[in-house]
Amino acid sequence: MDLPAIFQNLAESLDANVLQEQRYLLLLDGLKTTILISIGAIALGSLLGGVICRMRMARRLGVVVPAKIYIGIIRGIPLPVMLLLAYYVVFASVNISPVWVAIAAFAATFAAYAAEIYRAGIESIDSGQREAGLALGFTRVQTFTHIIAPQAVCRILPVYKGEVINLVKMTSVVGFIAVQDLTRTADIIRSRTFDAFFPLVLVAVLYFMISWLLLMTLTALEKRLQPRRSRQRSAGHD
Amino acid sequence: MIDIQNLTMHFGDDRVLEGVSASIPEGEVVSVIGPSGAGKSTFLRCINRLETPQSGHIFIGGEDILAPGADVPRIRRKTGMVFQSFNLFDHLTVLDNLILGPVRILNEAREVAEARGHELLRMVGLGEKALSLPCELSGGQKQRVAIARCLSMRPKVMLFDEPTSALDPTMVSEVLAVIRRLTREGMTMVIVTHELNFARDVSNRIFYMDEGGIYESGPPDQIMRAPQREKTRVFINRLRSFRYRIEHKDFDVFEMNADIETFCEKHFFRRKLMQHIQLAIEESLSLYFLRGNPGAITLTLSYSETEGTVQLLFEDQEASGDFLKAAEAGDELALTILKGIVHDIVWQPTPKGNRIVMTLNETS
Ligand SMILES: Nc1ncnc2c1ncn2[C@@H]1O[C@H](COP(=O)(O)OP(=O)(O)OP(=O)(O)O)[C@@H](O)[C@H]1O
Ligand SMILES: [Mg+2]
Repeated sequence: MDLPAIFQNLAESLDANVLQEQRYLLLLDGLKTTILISIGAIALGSLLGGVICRMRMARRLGVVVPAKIYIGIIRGIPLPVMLLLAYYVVFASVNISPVWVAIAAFAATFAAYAAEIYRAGIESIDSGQREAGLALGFTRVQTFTHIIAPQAVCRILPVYKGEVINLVKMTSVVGFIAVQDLTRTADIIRSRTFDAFFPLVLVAVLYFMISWLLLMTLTALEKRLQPRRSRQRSAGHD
Repeated sequence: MIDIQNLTMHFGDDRVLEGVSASIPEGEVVSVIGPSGAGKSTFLRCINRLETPQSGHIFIGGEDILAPGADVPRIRRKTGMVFQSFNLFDHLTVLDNLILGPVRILNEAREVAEARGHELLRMVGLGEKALSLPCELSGGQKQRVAIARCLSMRPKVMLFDEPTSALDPTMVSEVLAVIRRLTREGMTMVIVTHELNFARDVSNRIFYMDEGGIYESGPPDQIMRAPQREKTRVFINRLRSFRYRIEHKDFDVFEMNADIETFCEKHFFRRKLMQHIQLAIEESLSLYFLRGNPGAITLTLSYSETEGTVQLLFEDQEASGDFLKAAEAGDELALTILKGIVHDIVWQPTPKGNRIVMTLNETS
């Protein structure tokens, strides 16, 4: 068998695609950009999603309708189109980095999906929980923060995780507005070294690792939030 | 303690409450009974403003919870509500269910709230369950925790909406025992219930609700034994009796027997009496269906507490007369058994058929 030969090839590919001309710096930059856009869009989008969810679940029609329209429109437009619209129309006359435009566009999209995920989670909580909270004397807001939200989070997280992974993968289209993310970097290296296999596989692995890390973090959070039977307490026994 | 004036609540065209007024002094226990849909829950939920009625006033300890601009959460704290479906906070342990309110609303120190939480749990017999999650408890235990959770807020009034209706029959008494204990401690309470015996034991007054309001109210003995108005009478009699229509000889005897058992348990019949009732029904029906191909027969089982008797009433629409008489001629063993159990059998012809009334003594 030619095992050593394969390793030889790998080493050569590594050398050509990553080490030569300090291409690892290029890759690192791409990685940073992808992570920045992902995390930024998830953070902003999650917050904005909360606001839209609040509007969507309001009682006043004047508040509900705009939220419904927003969610409807966003869900009907392909993400790359959203991105191009943001870059060439919405922010056309504003001089900001395309990275921020990407974050804004992805956050706006993520918010629409997050809002619906939150709403489904909140509505899945039995109305008796709310009534019990109110009957005890909690205000509406307190009832939400102490009783509804902690229970809703546990039901939201599994779906939310999926949406987060989706977003990370969707950021790979930012090349459309000339942002050099991980995908774009791989493409640049390929065009220089004429090796498609190595840079693309490398980038695929990197995407997988970002997703995996986010998934692990959220799963850990989910586990922490599960109701647990006995917590150690000093005042527990007397 | 509670003063209700002219309460009116409509759901669309559904006039559930029409100008209801009532006054409940401190320490009084009121049971609310009435047919389904009469507005019992609505009435109770208006008292802590879980429903907002169209008009009226409800003063709780002198403060009108329905007044525009009323500090509803604060006035609500004077009342505690126990729901049919428990509504424990599923994400919290039993103890945390009890201390959430005191810590977050009353700003009690955690240690103080926990100490009192343990005390209340012991009071409802669940001292060992402090660290369990609600999903690990039985229905009866959940409801007792729910009562303790209300008490942790030190309410002046307790409102119960059918606290035992969602429970297995075996768990009803443990919850009722806890409520009984509260009455002894002088708590003001309004209890919506279908448990007539319990209502009679614990309450000072009973409200019978119907026709959009409190149709009749009075001391338990009066409402239960000598209701003044027609609908109350019909309702009480219906609750005190059990009806079953048998269409065919191969009817579902297991279902009927299970229903009879539930009825007997509800009225605390002794086991032997229940067996006699079931045997008497079985033998009577076997005699009835012996004759050719008869039509449907209706069975009514009713209990008269004052006389300590149980009545079995069979009504059919057959022209052929008393089916027991017919059996007598054939010297039926069933008839002998029947006569050994029941105290008295009377046959009466009706315009369309027959009525057979059997009486069993409670102590037989
Ligand atoms: N949120 C609501 N919206 C519309 N109608 C309602 C609502 N709540 C209650 N109703 C109506 O009000 C009437 C009274 O209901 P309520 O629940 O108070 O009756 P109840 O006496 O408690 O009956 P049950 O013994 O079945 O609990 C019913 O006709 C019901 O359909
Ligand atoms: Mg009800």
